Amino acid sequence: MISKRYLLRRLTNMAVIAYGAITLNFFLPRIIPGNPVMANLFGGGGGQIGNPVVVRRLTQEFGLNNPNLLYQYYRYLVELVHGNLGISFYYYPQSVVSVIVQRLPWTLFLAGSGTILAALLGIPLGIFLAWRKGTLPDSLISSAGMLISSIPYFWIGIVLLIFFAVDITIFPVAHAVSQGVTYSSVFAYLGDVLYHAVLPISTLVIALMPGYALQMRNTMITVMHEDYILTAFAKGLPNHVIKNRYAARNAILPVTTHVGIALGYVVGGALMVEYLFAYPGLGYTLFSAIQSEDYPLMQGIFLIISLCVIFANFIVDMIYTLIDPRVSLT
Amino acid sequence: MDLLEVSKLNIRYRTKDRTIHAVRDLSISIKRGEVVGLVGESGCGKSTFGMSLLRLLPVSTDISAKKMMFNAGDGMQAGGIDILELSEKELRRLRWKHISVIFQGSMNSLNPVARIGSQFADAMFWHGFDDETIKNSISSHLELVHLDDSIRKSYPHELSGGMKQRVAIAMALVCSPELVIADEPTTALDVVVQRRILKLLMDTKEKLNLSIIFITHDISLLASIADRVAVMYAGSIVEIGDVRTLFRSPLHPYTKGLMSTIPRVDERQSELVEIHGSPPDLSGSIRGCPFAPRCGIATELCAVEMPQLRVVEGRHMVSCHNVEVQDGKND
Amino acid sequence: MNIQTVSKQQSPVSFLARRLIRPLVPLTHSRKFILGASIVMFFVALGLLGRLIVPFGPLAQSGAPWSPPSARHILGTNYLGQDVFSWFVIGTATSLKVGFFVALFSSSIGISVGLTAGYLGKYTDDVLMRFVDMLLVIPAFPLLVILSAYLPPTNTSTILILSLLSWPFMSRVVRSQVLTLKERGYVAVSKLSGAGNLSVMFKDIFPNMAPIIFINMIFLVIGAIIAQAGLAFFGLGNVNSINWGTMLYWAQVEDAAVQSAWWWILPPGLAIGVLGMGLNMLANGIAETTLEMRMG
Repeated sequence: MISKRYLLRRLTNMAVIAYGAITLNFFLPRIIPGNPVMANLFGGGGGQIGNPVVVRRLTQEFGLNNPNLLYQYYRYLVELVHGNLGISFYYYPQSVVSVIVQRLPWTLFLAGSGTILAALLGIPLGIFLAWRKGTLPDSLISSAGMLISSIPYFWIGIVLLIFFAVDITIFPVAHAVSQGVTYSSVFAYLGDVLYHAVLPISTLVIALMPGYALQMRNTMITVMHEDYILTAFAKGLPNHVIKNRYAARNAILPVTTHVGIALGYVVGGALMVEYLFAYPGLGYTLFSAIQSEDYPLMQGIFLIISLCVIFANFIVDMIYTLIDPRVSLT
Repeated sequence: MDLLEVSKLNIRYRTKDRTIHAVRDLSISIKRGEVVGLVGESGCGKSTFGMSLLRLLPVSTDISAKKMMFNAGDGMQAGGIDILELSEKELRRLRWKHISVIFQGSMNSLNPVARIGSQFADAMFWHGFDDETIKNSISSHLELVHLDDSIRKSYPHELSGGMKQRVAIAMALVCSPELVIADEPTTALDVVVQRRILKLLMDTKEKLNLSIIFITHDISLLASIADRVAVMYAGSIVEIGDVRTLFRSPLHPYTKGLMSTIPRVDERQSELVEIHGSPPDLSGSIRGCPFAPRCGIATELCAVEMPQLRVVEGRHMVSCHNVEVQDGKND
Repeated sequence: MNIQTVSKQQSPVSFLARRLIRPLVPLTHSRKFILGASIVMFFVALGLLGRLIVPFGPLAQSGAPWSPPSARHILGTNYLGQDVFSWFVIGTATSLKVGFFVALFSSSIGISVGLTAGYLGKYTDDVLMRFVDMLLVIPAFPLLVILSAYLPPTNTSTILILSLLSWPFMSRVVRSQVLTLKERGYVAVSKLSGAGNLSVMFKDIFPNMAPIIFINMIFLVIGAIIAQAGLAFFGLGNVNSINWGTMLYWAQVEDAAVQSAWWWILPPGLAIGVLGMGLNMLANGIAETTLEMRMG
């Protein structure tokens, strides 16, 4: 069981990091010297960048014409508490929050299912390789894994795109759902969503799986040198029990931490994959925000993604606590 | 017929660039209910020998022996079983059910993520015990080592070093093996706990009529617990005999050296035999007596000819050119 | 043995040379290290000498657009009829440069922070490590994107941004090393003999973690090359610079995938992968060799 004190400590930790991200988000545009965008926006003038109406509203709501940085920080926090991240230049009159709320589920869907599928496939593969350490299949698959985990995510996506979507047209090349179609039922809609998600998710899985597999393999090989593995062999237990209940069960602990640490990279990968497949999540939105110099939206996306990853890390922490009996008591 | 008969056992570890001949022509027999102490410096091959009885050595290890028989008696084939001839499946049946190991409990020998109870249960389950027997056995064995039954719900990290060591003992006995290999079971414990554990081990041994091979680097421990003591040096037994004989009149210069490290109350000890230098490199072949370079009484013969283990008197045997033995009784 | 007399007998230069070269000898026995080093050397040579072997200027229109590989254009041409092989070879240098400088700068930051936190401990350590933890959790890629959008689109900006965001892990590694090494006998001896904090840090602690630092620098190189390619693919940084990332950017912008122009897409991605694998092997070779040496 998770003790209350432990839970409280992790929650505080998460809050501190979240607060850090929020503060960083405030200072980012303000600390970069000689930035014309910021000079324009924070100088209070309705200038060349962005919709003048929006700039005026932002200036007013966030106290941008007040030169006191502390006051601006205060306004920023107050607006944040009220769920206001400003207004998008590009999607005006939509607010940044409403744009993000529409797009976020797609990103969570891609990154979440990519991580889970990659872990579900990669970890058993790692166990398989560790048990056969030094054999031909192990060396071949491990080397291939090392190669793949060094290749950028989006490149894997491009190759899949050429292969499956252009050369042999099996899967759609873009979007999350078919355009201009009315669905007969919820299931038809879900089916279409999954059909469109095959290539983006496969890209993430192919990119992530080798990392999890190698991590599991290497950890388990270290675990296999532990005394309790020798005990397990001495007890005359069948191999599958030693492999799963002793070696893999212990090796999964550090790998879980690794999954947590890698979340940030996974999200980064998901953003690029969305751009590649014109998938309507935050990554694609971030890309179009850059193209249209929509700074409020960029900032908002950064903040929301950071908060999501911080929260996901907390969840991974909790899972770790549940599977490692040594943590909960301390 | 002895419980265990080993004759001319040789074990070689193959590594990338060399082969280490860890156990050299080792012969020993162990009777039912007998406690044999195996003593020597680290790296002398004593643990390797212990693990070889369960064939728990790395895959790249060569084991050969003239004879390596385990005679369990009931339930096993008449005439005993040849440990070296067993298949994977037969080995699994031998392990823990007939020969088990007490590891150093203070080490990481218990699975850190499984409850104590389940670590007892899995061994029994896979050796075909039914649930009722498993439950009762765990209770009775925890009681045997004076641990509360509630321990079964604990994880290893919640126990003290002494408790873990008692768990390791109880666990080794839970399938009622005939032979137990105790591999430095008290090494990392403080003296008081160490004493208690040894007493416990001896009491249990009396109750269950166990045979024990007690592996240690501390010869003084053996005085109170062993029936016989075998001194190992560079992969071979250099002296073996009843505990009294060996402690009263050690013959091999190496044994004398080990003995002299024990503080004694009586003033009978006249000379302090110090052992200089370090054991030989086991990766090469050794010419002559392996102890000769460190020996105070080595002669020219010692440098060229390997001494054989010869009977001194009764069960007392020694391998040294400079020890007078009864003639005509060469082994 | 008296330490002072030993160091007096040797000239500083030969002492230094011996310290630098002796640890490298066992590495030559590691197959992984040799293979990894060969791969890395190949790309470094390509980067340094590339200008001498390219058949065309990468920006010159030297053939028909979208031509597949041929004897004239061994990797075909792009949408402007530029030679892809020349792009690739010239681009190697930029990609390597980014990787090298980012590793250099960010490890300087990481090492300084790690040494300070680990050595001073207490309050300094708490504050620094909290900050590092925060940077480790916050997803790097969106942050990189935002910073790149604010800064002028040059390679220098990219190197600067990547350096500023890549150091946290290095500082963690260095800190934990310092904590371990601090407990060792010789550090205590140095301190007792009156050596100052800085002197202990750089003379006794720093040299002992050289392998680990080097291994992490290698990982920084891989990370920087991949991250730069990702930014370029997003159209951030200088998209007119010639490197592996911008090759993929233009391929994406000009729909190379739809044109099935695999010859334009495969080389940069595979090169990043193979170079990454080579660097990984190099790091593993060093890790395994130093580990073996420590175990005796």
